Amino acid sequence: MKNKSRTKILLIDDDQHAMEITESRIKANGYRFLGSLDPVKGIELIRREKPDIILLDVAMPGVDGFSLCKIIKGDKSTKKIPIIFITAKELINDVEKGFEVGAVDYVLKPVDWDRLMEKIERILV
Amino acid sequence: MSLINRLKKNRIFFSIRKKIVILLFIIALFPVVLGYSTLLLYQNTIKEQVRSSRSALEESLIKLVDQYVIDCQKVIIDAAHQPTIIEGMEYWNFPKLRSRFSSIKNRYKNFTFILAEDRRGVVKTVYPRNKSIIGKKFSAAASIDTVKPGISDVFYSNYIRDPAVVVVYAPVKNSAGRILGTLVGGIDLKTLSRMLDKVKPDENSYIYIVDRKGVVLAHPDERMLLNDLSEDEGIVKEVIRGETGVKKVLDYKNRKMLAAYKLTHLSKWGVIFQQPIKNAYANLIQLKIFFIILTFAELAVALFFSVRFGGMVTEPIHDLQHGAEMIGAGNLNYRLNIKTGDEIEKLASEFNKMAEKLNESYGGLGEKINAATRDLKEAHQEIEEKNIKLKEADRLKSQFLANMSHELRTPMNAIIGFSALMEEKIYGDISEKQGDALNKIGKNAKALLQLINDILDLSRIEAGKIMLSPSKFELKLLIDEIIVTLEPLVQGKNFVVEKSVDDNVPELFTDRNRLKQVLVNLITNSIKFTREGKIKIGASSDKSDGKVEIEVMDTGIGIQEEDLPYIFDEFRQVDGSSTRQYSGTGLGLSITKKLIDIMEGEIRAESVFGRGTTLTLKIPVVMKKEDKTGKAEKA
Repeated sequence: MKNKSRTKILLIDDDQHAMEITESRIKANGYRFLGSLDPVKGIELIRREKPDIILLDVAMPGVDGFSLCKIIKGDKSTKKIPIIFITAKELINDVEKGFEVGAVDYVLKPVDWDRLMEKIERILV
Repeated sequence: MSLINRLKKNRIFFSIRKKIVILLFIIALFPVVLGYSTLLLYQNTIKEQVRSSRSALEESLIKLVDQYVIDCQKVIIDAAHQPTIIEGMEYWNFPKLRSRFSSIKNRYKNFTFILAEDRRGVVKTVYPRNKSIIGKKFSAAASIDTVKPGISDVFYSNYIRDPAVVVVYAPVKNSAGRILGTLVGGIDLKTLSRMLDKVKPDENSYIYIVDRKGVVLAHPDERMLLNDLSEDEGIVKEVIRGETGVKKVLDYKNRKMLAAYKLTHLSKWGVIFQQPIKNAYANLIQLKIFFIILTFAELAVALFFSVRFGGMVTEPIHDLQHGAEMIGAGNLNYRLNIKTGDEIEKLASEFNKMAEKLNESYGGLGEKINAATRDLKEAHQEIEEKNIKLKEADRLKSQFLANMSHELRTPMNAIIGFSALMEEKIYGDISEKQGDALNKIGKNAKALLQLINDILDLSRIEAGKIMLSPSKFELKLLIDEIIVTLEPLVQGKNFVVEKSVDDNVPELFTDRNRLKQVLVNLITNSIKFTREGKIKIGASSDKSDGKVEIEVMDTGIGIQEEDLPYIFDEFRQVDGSSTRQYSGTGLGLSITKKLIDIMEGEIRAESVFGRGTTLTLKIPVVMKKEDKTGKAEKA
């Protein structure tokens, strides 16, 4: 496991508040935080920065989280990056679809941050 | 198949036409039979008539022959008394005699010759002149007794040209009574034959004469002359015996003849009249032929009319049958056109009426069916439209639920997220009061979130949006997991949580998450309402019904008996006060009940107020494959 301060966790979410809270939580836990409110810019950021974990919102205007996940998984340079969906959508179909497209976890909003951090740490080990 | 065809198949079909033809034919045969028997009876009468008419003919023939012979004899006897003849024979004046003979012969055509013999029987003179006979004893040759007048039998003479000769003779005496000689006249049999010929009724009939010995003396066929038939022909034998009759015979040419025969009175000759049967019975034969023709004509007419009549009767029946078949086959517009002016026409008109009625009622029926079909189509269309609308509404509802979930969670996420960040002093130091307030904000937000979740859950269940995804798992492990999860709630409380899962509880195949949700709900409730004592979670299985029973027992505040029936109703958390005292939306048990229903299970509650509550749920060990809702979940 590399140094926490060098571990990049990236969030793509169109919700400004979720972005702020997540940033605070990630940083409070000592990780580096990257974020994009715009899905397309988010993809560019992922390709440039190669984060260690990607957190994805599902419901976004334009490109939804599942499509983003497929794009990431379809790109050789980014396909190995673990993806966790963080969404307010809790429909079973969505959860299943999340795993189907290659996510390692699916977390519901409001986020239980202690548990999410545990999961992140487990993934990074 | 029509009735007629069935009959055809099962039995020999005999058409009415044939029956009529045969019947009329039989009827037509009656007069034929009757006529024929009459004919048979009448035939004898006719035959009798023919016979008697032939007898009469025969009688006249006899008379003719007798007369002829009498005439000849009379002429010769008369001549024997003529002074010229007597004188001529006294002195044998030949020219005188011959002249006299010539005059006699020419006057009476009955003689072939006339001669005079002297008293010794020697021919002295003859007319016509014939030298070879002069000086011969002719009478002797003819074996006649010349003492008194007579008639000879038939004989053959070398001196006479005629093959058969019959003579009449008479002695010639002078005034003193002395016999001078004999006058002999040869009867002309040919003339006799010719005379008789004139009497015969037809061309093929013939008459012949035999003398009393049965020798033919006159016959149309000259070859038959002088033949002795007394042995050969029965009727000749009969006639010379003096018998008379009419009978069927075969003549000398083997022809079938009807013969009439009789002896002449004077000369005792047999006169035989022969007529071909077909001529004799010409009338009868004609009658028979006429009868046969009549019979055939009658039968032909009977046949013709029976066929025509049969046709007249059966054709309309055929039409009727055809029409009935057509109408029977469903061609209700078919109309019979039968104009026989009888019962069949009436029947046809009844058929037409029937078809009309059927047509009307079918037409009405068809219209009704059409109307019903139209209504049905409209209804179907309506249903289809409604279904589309319902589906749309359903889709919108699903969409709404998903959106609600998302849209409610997003701000809740912000509220809870920011208050937690502040409370945890990540955004910097805060006062104790501020911390307390933030804690309350967080708790209320979470309560609100729980309420939102419950409402959405309930909505989903009621909308049939819950889909079960069964999997295999151990109940024991699930219960362990729940106890661990709820551990924080138990901390600092004065009771213990026990679990006892029977070993015979099999591996379950059901929706793990939903069962977990149910158990969490139940156990959370128990924790919430229990101050001290214990909470016991038990599981057992009775293999016979394939179900597992899970029991959550607590020693909590309990439920009043009158409230028990309502605990699974929405928003009914036992009493008003408890809502204040114990947090909760009041939707938990309702959701639990509904989830258990979906899992094909059942739940019951037992409670003693103030002592504790036991909730027991029973679900199938193996969930049925098809999900209860039957609806796919849509995002």
